[in-house]
Amino acid sequence: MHTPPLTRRAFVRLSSSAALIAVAGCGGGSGGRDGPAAQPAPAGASVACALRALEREPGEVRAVAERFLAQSGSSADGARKELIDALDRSALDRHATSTEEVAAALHDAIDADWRSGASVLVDGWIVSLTEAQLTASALATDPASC
Amino acid sequence: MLIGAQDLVEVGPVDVCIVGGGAAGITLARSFVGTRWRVLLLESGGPSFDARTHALYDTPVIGTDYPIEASRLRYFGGTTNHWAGQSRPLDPIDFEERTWIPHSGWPIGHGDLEPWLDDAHTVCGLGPPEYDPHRWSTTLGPDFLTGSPTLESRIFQLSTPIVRFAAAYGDELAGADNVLVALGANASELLSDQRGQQITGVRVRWFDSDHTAEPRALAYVLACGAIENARLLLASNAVRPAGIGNDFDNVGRYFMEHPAYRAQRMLATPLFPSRGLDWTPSAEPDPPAVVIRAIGPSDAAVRRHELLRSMLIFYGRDDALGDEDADVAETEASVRAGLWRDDPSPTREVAATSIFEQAPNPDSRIRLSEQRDALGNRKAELDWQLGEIDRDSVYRSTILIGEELARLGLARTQLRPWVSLFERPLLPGVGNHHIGTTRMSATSATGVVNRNCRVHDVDNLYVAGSSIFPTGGIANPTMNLVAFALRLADHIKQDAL
Ligand SMILES: Cc1cc2nc3c(=O)[nH]c(=O)nc-3n(C[C@H](O)[C@H](O)[C@H](O)COP(=O)(O)OP(=O)(O)OC[C@H]3O[C@@H](n4cnc5c(N)ncnc54)[C@H](O)[C@@H]3O)c2cc1C
Repeated sequence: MHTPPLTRRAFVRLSSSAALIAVAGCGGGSGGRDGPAAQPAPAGASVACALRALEREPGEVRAVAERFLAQSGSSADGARKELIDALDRSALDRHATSTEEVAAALHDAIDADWRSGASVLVDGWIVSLTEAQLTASALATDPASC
Repeated sequence: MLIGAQDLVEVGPVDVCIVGGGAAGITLARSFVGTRWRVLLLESGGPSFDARTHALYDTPVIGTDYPIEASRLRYFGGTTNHWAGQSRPLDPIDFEERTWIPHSGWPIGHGDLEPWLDDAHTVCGLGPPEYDPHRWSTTLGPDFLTGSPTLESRIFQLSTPIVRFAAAYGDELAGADNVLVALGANASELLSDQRGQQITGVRVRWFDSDHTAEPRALAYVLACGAIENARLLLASNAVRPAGIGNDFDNVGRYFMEHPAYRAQRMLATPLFPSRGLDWTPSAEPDPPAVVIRAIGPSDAAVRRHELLRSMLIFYGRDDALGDEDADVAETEASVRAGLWRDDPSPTREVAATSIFEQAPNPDSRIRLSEQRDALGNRKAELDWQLGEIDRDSVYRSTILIGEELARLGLARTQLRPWVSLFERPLLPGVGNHHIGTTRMSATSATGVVNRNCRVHDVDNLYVAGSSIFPTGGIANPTMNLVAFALRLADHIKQDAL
C-alpha cells in the first residue's frame, strides 16, 4: 500500500491534535495539556473502551499509523492488542478503568519509552513506541476489543 | 625585535627557536619575554595577508572533501587573524581512555593542564574559567536541563574584544630585548644529528632568494598548526627516511576535526526556552564575559550509550527549510488564522546544528604530496577520513537527544534522511579545527610526543598546538592549546635549558 510521506505539516497537525496524546509538550507530564479532550468512557469501562475514547479522528493520525504499520509489519488490531496488554501490565484494571486513568497510564508509558529508548522512526520523526501504537490503534477495526 | 628572514644569517645560536607565529608560537615567545633566555620566533608570513605566502599552504585534499583554503592563515598571528574566539576547556572525560573509542586516552589528565587555564583565559580575552551553567543563569536563564538523566547544558565563552594574537601581542614581542621575530622566514626542514635524536638547526627559506639560513638553538618548538607541524616532521627526512619522530609511522596520522551536521529538523514547543539557548552571545557584566549555551549528552549518557561526545546548538528560526518551506508557511498561516484551536501556542521550527567529536582514526592523515610549493618544498596532502564509529554516533546521539527533548516536552525531532537511512556518505561541515597529527602518547609506538610535548626519542624538539591532542572532545582547541603552550614554556624553562 502506498502511503504518502509524512510531511512536517502533517506531523505538526498531529502533534497539535488531541488525538495523539503524547504531543510535544504533553508527553511525560512536563507541561502542556492535562489530558485528552475526548468523550470520557463511562466509569468502569474496560481498558479497551477507555482507550477507544482517546482515539479520535483516525484521519489525523492515519499518516503516522499507516507508515508505522508498514514498517513494523504488524496490523492495527495487533498494535491495539499489544498496547492494551502493555497498559494492563501497568497495573490498570482491565475490567474497570476510567479514561483519565488510561490517559495517565499512557503518559507514564510514553515517558518510560523516552527514558529507555523505546522509540521508532516514522519518516524520520522520533516517535515513542506507545505513541506509534496509539496511532495504529486508532485504525483498529476489531469490534471485540471494545 | 622584528627582523627579516635574510637577517637570520647574522643571528647566532639562541636558547629556544619557535617555528610559527600563531596562537601557540606567540604565547610561547611571550612567556620568555624579560627572561635570561634568547628566543627566536620564525614566522613564514609578514604582518598582513599576502597571497604568495598563503599559497605555500596549498594542500591537495584526497579524502573526504575539506574546505582547506580558509581553514588556516599564513601570516603573523596565524589563523587567529580570523578565528571566532569561541572557547571552552577540554573536559576531564576527554583525557580518559574510553574503551568504546579505539585510540582514545591521553597520558596526562585534566589536572595536568588545569594550572595554566586561568592564564590561558586571560591570554585569549575570556572571562574567568567558569563553565557551570548555574553560574551564568542571570545571563542565560535557568538551566532547564537540571535533573535530566541524559542531557546537560554546555557553556562556551567568546573572546571579547576578539584577540588577534599578532595585533594584541606583536608589539610586546617586537619590543623585547631577548626575543627576535623573523618575518618571511619559512622553515623548510629540521636538521638533525646522524642518529636523528638531536635537532641541530632549522633550514629557513624566503622568497626571491636562493640563500638559506640555518638558525641554531638549544631547544626547538614546532608551532605551525597541525598540518604543517606534521609536514615539517615528514619532510625532514635527510637522516631518517620516514622523517623525524616517525619511527612508528604515527606522524601525520589521526587527523581530526569537529564535524558539524544538520542532522535533524526540530519543532520546538512553547516550553522551549525563549532565551539563553539561541546561539547568540550574551554579555555578563561582572566579571565581564560573553557566554553562549549549547546542549549535549551528559558524560554519564555518553558512557552509558558508548557514544562520541557531541553538542547541539540552536540558531532560532530555521531558514533552511528547502522543499518543505511551503508546508511550514501553510502551517503558520493556519495558526495565524486561528484554525488550530486545539493548540493556541503552536510549535515552531528551530534550526539546530550538531557538532561532534571525531574518533581518532589512523587512516585519517597528512602525507607528503609529490607536488612542491613555490619554495621547492613538498606540500602536505590531506586525507581526512570519518569512520563507521563517527557515523554510528551521529545516528544514535541524534535519536538520544531527540528522545530526551520529547520527554521534557521541549521539542520533537525528525532525523534527516541521510542520518536515518545511511543513504549517502556523511558530508559534514567543519569547525576549522585541525587536531591530532602529532598525538601525545605514553610510548613512541603509539604517538609522536610525550607528556611534556617533546617528540619521543628526540632530545630537544617539542610540538605546540592542537596537533598534540590525542582526542578532540567538543571544546574549541585554541584556548586549550594556549594553555598547553604556557605549560610547555614552563617545562622548557625548568628542564630543557
Ligand atoms: C574561520 C575560523 C574560525 C575559527 N574559530 C575558532 C574558534 O572560535 N575557537 C577556537 O578555539 N578556534 C577557532 N579556530 C581555530 C584557530 O584559529 C586555531 O586553533 C589556532 O589559530 C591554532 O593556533 P596555532 O598557533 O596552532 O596555529 P596558527 O594560528 O595557524 O599559526 C601557525 C603559524 O605558523 C606559521 N607557519 C606555518 N608554516 C610555517 C613554516 N613552515 N615556517 C614558519 N612559519 C610557519 C603560520 O604563518 C602561522 O602564523 C578557527 C579557525 C578558522 C579558520
